[in-house]
Amino acid sequence: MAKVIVVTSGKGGVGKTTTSASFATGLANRGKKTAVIDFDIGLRNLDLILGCERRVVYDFVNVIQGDAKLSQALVRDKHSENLSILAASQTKDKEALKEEGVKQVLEDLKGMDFEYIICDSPAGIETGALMALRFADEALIVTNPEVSAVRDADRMLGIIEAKSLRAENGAERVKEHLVITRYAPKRADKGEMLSHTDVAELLSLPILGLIPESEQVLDCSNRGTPVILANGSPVALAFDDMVARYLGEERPLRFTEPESAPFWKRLFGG
Amino acid sequence: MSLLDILFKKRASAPIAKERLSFILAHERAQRSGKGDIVSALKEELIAVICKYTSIDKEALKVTLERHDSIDVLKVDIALPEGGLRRG
Repeated sequence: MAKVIVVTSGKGGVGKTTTSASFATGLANRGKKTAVIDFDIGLRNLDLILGCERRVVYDFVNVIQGDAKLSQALVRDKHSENLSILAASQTKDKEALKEEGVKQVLEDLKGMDFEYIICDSPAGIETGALMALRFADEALIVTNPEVSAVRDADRMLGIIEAKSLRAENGAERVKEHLVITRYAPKRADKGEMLSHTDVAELLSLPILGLIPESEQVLDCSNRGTPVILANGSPVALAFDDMVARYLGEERPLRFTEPESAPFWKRLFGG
Repeated sequence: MSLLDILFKKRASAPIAKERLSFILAHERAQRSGKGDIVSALKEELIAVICKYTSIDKEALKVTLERHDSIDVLKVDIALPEGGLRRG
Protein backbone atom coordinates (compact mmCIF):
# COMPACT_ATOMS: atom_id res chain seq x y z
CA MET A 1 0.00 0.00 0.00
CA ALA A 2 1.39 3.38 -1.01
CA LYS A 3 2.32 5.81 1.76
CA VAL A 4 1.71 9.54 1.59
CA ILE A 5 4.31 11.44 3.60
CA VAL A 6 4.13 15.18 4.17
CA VAL A 7 7.33 17.15 4.81
CA THR A 8 6.30 20.18 6.81
CA SER A 9 7.53 22.74 9.35
CA GLY A 10 5.39 25.83 9.65
CA LYS A 11 8.44 28.07 9.54
CA GLY A 12 10.16 28.83 6.25
CA GLY A 13 13.81 28.25 5.46
CA VAL A 14 14.35 25.33 7.82
CA GLY A 15 15.08 22.81 5.07
CA LYS A 16 11.79 21.26 3.96
CA THR A 17 12.64 21.17 0.28
CA THR A 18 16.22 20.03 0.91
CA THR A 19 14.82 17.27 3.13
CA SER A 20 12.08 16.30 0.64
CA ALA A 21 14.59 16.07 -2.22
CA SER A 22 17.11 13.99 -0.29
CA PHE A 23 14.54 11.76 1.41
CA ALA A 24 12.79 11.04 -1.92
CA THR A 25 16.12 10.39 -3.67
CA GLY A 26 17.23 8.11 -0.85
CA LEU A 27 14.03 6.04 -1.02
CA ALA A 28 14.27 5.85 -4.83
CA ASN A 29 17.91 4.75 -4.72
CA ARG A 30 16.88 1.93 -2.41
CA GLY A 31 14.59 0.67 -5.12
CA LYS A 32 11.34 2.24 -3.92
CA LYS A 33 9.18 3.79 -6.61
CA THR A 34 8.77 7.32 -5.31
CA ALA A 35 7.02 10.52 -6.36
CA VAL A 36 7.69 13.92 -4.85
CA ILE A 37 5.18 16.75 -5.21
CA ASP A 38 5.87 20.46 -4.72
CA PHE A 39 2.85 22.04 -2.97
CA ASP A 40 4.35 25.54 -2.93
CA ILE A 41 2.09 27.02 -5.59
CA GLY A 42 3.51 30.25 -6.99
CA LEU A 43 6.95 29.62 -5.49
CA ARG A 44 8.16 26.50 -7.27
CA ASN A 45 11.57 25.38 -5.97
CA LEU A 46 11.81 21.61 -5.71
CA ASP A 47 12.59 21.37 -9.45
CA LEU A 48 15.67 23.57 -8.94
CA ILE A 49 16.92 21.57 -5.96
CA LEU A 50 16.57 18.36 -7.99
CA GLY A 51 18.06 19.98 -11.10
CA CYS A 52 15.11 19.30 -13.41
CA GLU A 53 13.79 22.86 -13.85
CA ARG A 54 14.33 22.90 -17.62
CA ARG A 55 12.33 19.74 -18.15
CA VAL A 56 9.15 20.90 -16.43
CA VAL A 57 6.41 21.31 -19.05
CA TYR A 58 3.22 20.79 -17.09
CA ASP A 59 2.65 21.20 -13.38
CA PHE A 60 0.47 20.05 -10.47
CA VAL A 61 -2.24 22.67 -11.13
CA ASN A 62 -2.35 21.82 -14.86
CA VAL A 63 -3.15 18.23 -13.85
CA ILE A 64 -5.76 19.26 -11.27
CA GLN A 65 -7.47 21.53 -13.80
CA GLY A 66 -7.41 18.86 -16.49
CA ASP A 67 -5.04 20.73 -18.85
CA ALA A 68 -2.54 17.87 -18.78
CA LYS A 69 -2.43 14.20 -17.89
CA LEU A 70 -0.55 13.19 -14.78
CA SER A 71 1.82 11.06 -16.87
CA GLN A 72 2.68 14.12 -18.99
CA ALA A 73 3.37 16.30 -15.96
CA LEU A 74 5.58 13.84 -14.03
CA VAL A 75 9.26 14.57 -14.65
CA ARG A 76 11.62 11.60 -14.40
CA ASP A 77 14.53 12.46 -12.11
CA LYS A 78 17.96 12.44 -13.72
CA HIS A 79 19.71 11.00 -10.67
CA SER A 80 17.39 8.11 -9.95
CA GLU A 81 15.12 6.24 -12.34
CA ASN A 82 12.70 5.34 -9.52
CA LEU A 83 11.96 8.98 -8.73
CA SER A 84 9.38 11.23 -10.39
CA ILE A 85 8.74 14.89 -9.68
CA LEU A 86 5.50 16.82 -9.94
CA ALA A 87 6.37 20.52 -10.01
CA ALA A 88 4.30 23.30 -8.44
CA SER A 89 2.65 25.84 -10.69
CA GLN A 90 4.61 29.06 -10.95
CA THR A 91 1.77 31.16 -12.33
CA LYS A 92 -1.49 29.97 -10.85
CA ASP A 93 -3.15 31.08 -7.67
CA LYS A 94 -2.66 28.86 -4.63
CA GLU A 95 -6.44 28.55 -4.34
CA ALA A 96 -6.22 26.37 -7.47
CA LEU A 97 -5.27 23.50 -5.12
CA LYS A 98 -8.74 22.07 -4.64
CA GLU A 99 -9.09 19.20 -2.21
CA GLU A 100 -10.86 16.94 -4.71
CA GLY A 101 -8.14 17.56 -7.29
CA VAL A 102 -5.32 16.84 -4.85
CA LYS A 103 -7.08 13.65 -3.74
CA GLN A 104 -7.46 12.51 -7.35
CA VAL A 105 -3.77 13.10 -8.15
CA LEU A 106 -2.74 11.09 -5.08
CA GLU A 107 -5.15 8.28 -6.01
CA ASP A 108 -3.78 8.24 -9.57
CA LEU A 109 -0.19 8.09 -8.32
CA LYS A 110 -1.12 5.12 -6.13
CA GLY A 111 -2.69 3.55 -9.20
CA MET A 112 0.63 3.97 -11.02
CA ASP A 113 2.29 1.79 -8.35
CA PHE A 114 4.20 4.51 -6.56
CA GLU A 115 5.16 3.19 -3.12
CA TYR A 116 5.99 6.52 -1.51
CA ILE A 117 4.44 9.88 -2.29
CA ILE A 118 6.32 12.76 -0.67
CA CYS A 119 4.40 16.03 -0.30
CA ASP A 120 6.78 18.98 0.03
CA SER A 121 4.75 21.56 1.97
CA PRO A 122 5.13 25.32 1.67
CA ALA A 123 5.83 27.34 4.81
CA GLY A 124 2.91 28.85 6.70
CA ILE A 125 -0.49 27.38 7.47
CA GLU A 126 -2.46 28.38 4.39
CA THR A 127 -4.06 26.35 1.58
CA GLY A 128 -0.85 24.82 0.16
CA ALA A 129 0.34 23.66 3.57
CA LEU A 130 -3.11 22.36 4.55
CA MET A 131 -3.49 20.45 1.28
CA ALA A 132 0.01 18.96 1.64
CA LEU A 133 -0.87 17.42 5.01
CA ARG A 134 -4.54 16.67 4.32
CA PHE A 135 -4.08 13.12 3.00
CA ALA A 136 -0.87 12.28 4.84
CA ASP A 137 -0.29 8.88 6.44
CA GLU A 138 2.97 10.05 7.96
CA ALA A 139 4.68 13.39 8.53
CA LEU A 140 8.28 14.52 8.65
CA ILE A 141 8.39 17.54 10.94
CA VAL A 142 11.45 19.55 9.95
CA THR A 143 12.89 22.01 12.44
CA ASN A 144 16.08 23.81 13.41
CA PRO A 145 17.29 23.93 17.03
CA GLU A 146 15.94 27.45 17.34
CA VAL A 147 12.98 28.75 19.37
CA SER A 148 10.73 30.01 16.58
CA ALA A 149 11.25 26.92 14.40
CA VAL A 150 10.44 24.60 17.33
CA ARG A 151 7.35 26.56 18.26
CA ASP A 152 6.11 26.52 14.66
CA ALA A 153 6.80 22.78 14.44
CA ASP A 154 4.62 22.25 17.49
CA ARG A 155 1.89 24.38 15.95
CA MET A 156 2.10 22.22 12.82
CA LEU A 157 1.68 19.08 14.95
CA GLY A 158 -1.51 20.61 16.31
CA ILE A 159 -2.74 21.34 12.79
CA ILE A 160 -2.03 17.77 11.68
CA GLU A 161 -3.99 16.53 14.70
CA ALA A 162 -6.91 18.78 13.77
CA LYS A 163 -6.98 19.10 10.00
CA SER A 164 -5.67 15.88 8.50
CA LEU A 165 -8.20 13.51 7.00
CA ARG A 166 -7.02 10.77 9.37
CA ALA A 167 -7.80 12.97 12.36
CA GLU A 168 -11.15 13.98 10.94
CA ASN A 169 -12.17 10.39 10.24
CA GLY A 170 -10.95 9.21 13.61
CA ALA A 171 -8.60 6.83 11.77
CA GLU A 172 -5.21 5.76 13.08
CA ARG A 173 -3.27 8.96 13.76
CA VAL A 174 -0.70 10.38 11.35
CA LYS A 175 2.70 8.95 12.28
CA GLU A 176 5.03 11.86 12.98
CA HIS A 177 8.82 11.85 12.74
CA LEU A 178 11.26 14.57 13.74
CA VAL A 179 13.99 15.86 11.42
CA ILE A 180 16.40 18.36 12.96
CA THR A 181 18.45 20.26 10.40
CA ARG A 182 21.33 22.76 10.59
CA TYR A 183 22.54 21.11 13.78
CA ALA A 184 25.85 22.33 15.18
CA PRO A 185 27.03 19.79 17.79
CA LYS A 186 29.79 22.11 18.94
CA ARG A 187 27.38 24.92 19.73
CA ALA A 188 24.92 22.54 21.39
CA ASP A 189 27.78 21.21 23.52
CA LYS A 190 28.64 24.73 24.62
CA GLY A 191 25.04 25.40 25.56
CA GLU A 192 24.64 27.96 22.79
CA MET A 193 22.11 25.88 20.89
CA LEU A 194 19.24 23.61 21.92
CA SER A 195 20.51 20.03 21.83
CA HIS A 196 18.84 17.38 19.68
CA THR A 197 17.52 15.73 22.85
CA ASP A 198 16.03 19.05 24.02
CA VAL A 199 14.18 19.48 20.71
CA ALA A 200 12.93 15.87 20.72
CA GLU A 201 11.76 16.23 24.31
CA LEU A 202 10.03 19.57 23.71
CA LEU A 203 8.12 18.20 20.72
CA SER A 204 7.67 14.68 22.21
CA LEU A 205 8.74 13.13 18.91
CA PRO A 206 11.31 10.46 18.01
CA ILE A 207 14.25 11.72 15.95
CA LEU A 208 14.32 10.26 12.44
CA GLY A 209 17.04 12.51 11.08
CA LEU A 210 19.73 14.68 12.64
CA ILE A 211 21.31 16.71 9.87
CA PRO A 212 24.42 18.72 10.64
CA GLU A 213 24.89 22.29 9.46
CA SER A 214 27.05 22.22 6.35
CA GLU A 215 28.33 24.30 3.44
CA GLN A 216 27.59 21.29 1.27
CA VAL A 217 23.86 22.10 1.21
CA LEU A 218 24.38 25.37 -0.66
CA ASP A 219 26.94 23.81 -2.95
CA CYS A 220 24.50 21.06 -3.91
CA SER A 221 21.60 23.44 -4.44
CA ASN A 222 23.86 25.51 -6.72
CA ARG A 223 24.39 22.38 -8.79
CA GLY A 224 20.85 21.01 -8.68
CA THR A 225 21.91 17.80 -6.95
CA PRO A 226 20.13 16.53 -3.82
CA VAL A 227 22.66 16.69 -1.00
CA ILE A 228 22.19 13.00 -0.11
CA LEU A 229 24.26 12.33 -3.25
CA ALA A 230 27.25 14.37 -2.01
CA ASN A 231 29.27 11.22 -1.42
CA GLY A 232 30.85 10.85 1.96
CA SER A 233 29.86 14.28 3.27
CA PRO A 234 28.39 14.34 6.78
CA VAL A 235 25.06 15.72 5.49
CA ALA A 236 24.78 12.94 2.90
CA LEU A 237 25.58 10.34 5.56
CA ALA A 238 23.00 11.86 7.90
CA PHE A 239 20.31 11.80 5.22
CA ASP A 240 21.23 8.24 4.27
CA ASP A 241 20.89 7.24 7.94
CA MET A 242 17.50 8.92 8.01
CA VAL A 243 16.22 6.97 5.00
CA ALA A 244 17.60 3.72 6.40
CA ARG A 245 15.95 4.36 9.75
CA TYR A 246 12.68 5.18 8.03
CA LEU A 247 12.83 1.81 6.27
CA GLY A 248 13.37 0.07 9.60
CA GLU A 249 17.16 -0.25 9.88
CA GLU A 250 18.83 0.39 13.22
CA ARG A 251 21.19 3.32 12.81
CA PRO A 252 22.54 5.14 15.86
CA LEU A 253 22.47 8.94 15.64
CA ARG A 254 25.68 10.47 14.34
CA PHE A 255 27.06 13.99 14.64
CA THR A 256 25.64 14.40 18.12
CA GLU A 257 29.01 15.30 19.62
CA PRO A 258 31.60 17.81 18.41
CA GLU A 259 34.68 16.33 16.82
CA SER A 260 37.24 15.93 19.54
CA ALA A 261 39.42 19.01 19.75
CA PRO A 262 43.05 19.19 20.88
CA PHE A 263 43.59 19.49 24.62
CA TRP A 264 44.47 23.19 24.57
CA LYS A 265 41.30 23.96 22.64
CA ARG A 266 39.20 22.04 25.10
CA LEU A 267 40.82 24.05 27.86
CA PHE A 268 40.51 27.49 26.33
CA GLY A 269 37.51 26.98 24.07
CA GLY A 270 37.33 28.08 20.45
CA MET B 1 32.05 23.12 27.34
CA SER B 2 35.58 24.41 27.92
CA LEU B 3 37.15 24.73 31.36
CA LEU B 4 37.39 28.50 31.00
CA ASP B 5 33.69 28.73 30.12
CA ILE B 6 32.94 26.89 33.33
CA LEU B 7 35.40 28.93 35.38
CA PHE B 8 34.04 32.23 34.17
CA LYS B 9 30.45 31.01 34.22
CA LYS B 10 29.66 32.04 30.67
CA ARG B 11 25.89 32.11 30.64
CA ALA B 12 24.60 29.49 28.22
CA SER B 13 21.46 30.54 26.39
CA ALA B 14 20.18 27.10 25.34
CA PRO B 15 18.68 26.35 28.80
CA ILE B 16 16.84 29.68 28.60
CA ALA B 17 15.50 28.72 25.16
CA LYS B 18 14.37 25.37 26.51
CA GLU B 19 12.63 26.87 29.50
CA ARG B 20 10.86 29.52 27.42
CA LEU B 21 9.77 26.93 24.89
CA SER B 22 8.48 24.43 27.42
CA PHE B 23 6.39 27.18 28.96
CA ILE B 24 4.92 28.52 25.73
CA LEU B 25 4.35 25.09 24.17
CA ALA B 26 2.51 23.87 27.27
CA HIS B 27 0.38 26.99 27.19
CA GLU B 28 -0.41 26.68 23.48
CA ARG B 29 -1.13 22.97 23.73
CA ALA B 30 -3.49 23.59 26.61
CA GLN B 31 -5.35 26.14 24.52
CA ARG B 32 -5.57 23.71 21.61
CA SER B 33 -7.02 20.96 23.74
CA GLY B 34 -9.50 23.35 25.37
CA LYS B 35 -7.79 23.13 28.76
CA GLY B 36 -6.65 26.74 28.53
CA ASP B 37 -9.64 28.25 30.25
CA ILE B 38 -9.62 25.73 33.07
CA VAL B 39 -5.97 26.44 33.77
CA SER B 40 -6.36 30.20 33.86
CA ALA B 41 -9.44 29.93 36.11
CA LEU B 42 -7.61 27.51 38.39
CA LYS B 43 -4.63 29.82 38.44
CA GLU B 44 -6.67 32.83 39.50
CA GLU B 45 -8.45 30.93 42.25
CA LEU B 46 -5.23 29.42 43.55
CA ILE B 47 -3.63 32.84 43.72
CA ALA B 48 -6.69 34.28 45.43
CA VAL B 49 -6.71 31.52 48.06
CA ILE B 50 -3.00 31.77 48.78
CA CYS B 51 -3.20 35.55 49.06
CA LYS B 52 -6.16 35.24 51.39
CA TYR B 53 -4.20 33.25 53.96
CA THR B 54 -0.79 34.85 53.60
CA SER B 55 0.75 38.23 53.09
CA ILE B 56 2.46 37.14 49.92
CA ASP B 57 2.57 39.53 47.03
CA LYS B 58 0.68 38.30 43.96
CA GLU B 59 3.83 38.86 41.91
CA ALA B 60 5.66 36.26 43.99
CA LEU B 61 3.33 33.53 42.75
CA LYS B 62 3.77 31.59 39.57
CA VAL B 63 1.29 28.96 38.40
CA THR B 64 2.21 27.07 35.23
CA LEU B 65 1.09 24.01 33.35
CA GLU B 66 3.96 22.08 31.76
CA ARG B 67 3.96 18.97 29.66
CA HIS B 68 6.64 16.33 30.07
CA ASP B 69 6.26 13.59 27.47
CA SER B 70 2.78 12.34 28.20
CA ILE B 71 2.08 13.88 31.61
CA ASP B 72 0.88 17.37 32.44
CA VAL B 73 2.47 18.99 35.46
CA LEU B 74 0.73 21.81 37.28
CA LYS B 75 3.44 23.79 39.02
CA VAL B 76 2.86 26.37 41.74
CA ASP B 77 5.95 28.43 42.61
CA ILE B 78 5.73 30.61 45.69
CA ALA B 79 8.60 32.87 46.69
CA LEU B 80 8.23 33.15 50.48
CA PRO B 81 8.94 36.53 52.02
CA GLU B 82 11.66 36.88 54.66
CA GLY B 83 10.45 35.49 57.96
CA GLY B 84 8.32 32.82 56.29
CA LEU B 85 4.56 32.61 56.05
CA ARG B 86 2.44 35.13 57.92
CA ARG B 87 -1.26 35.53 57.91
CA GLY B 88 -2.12 38.48 55.69
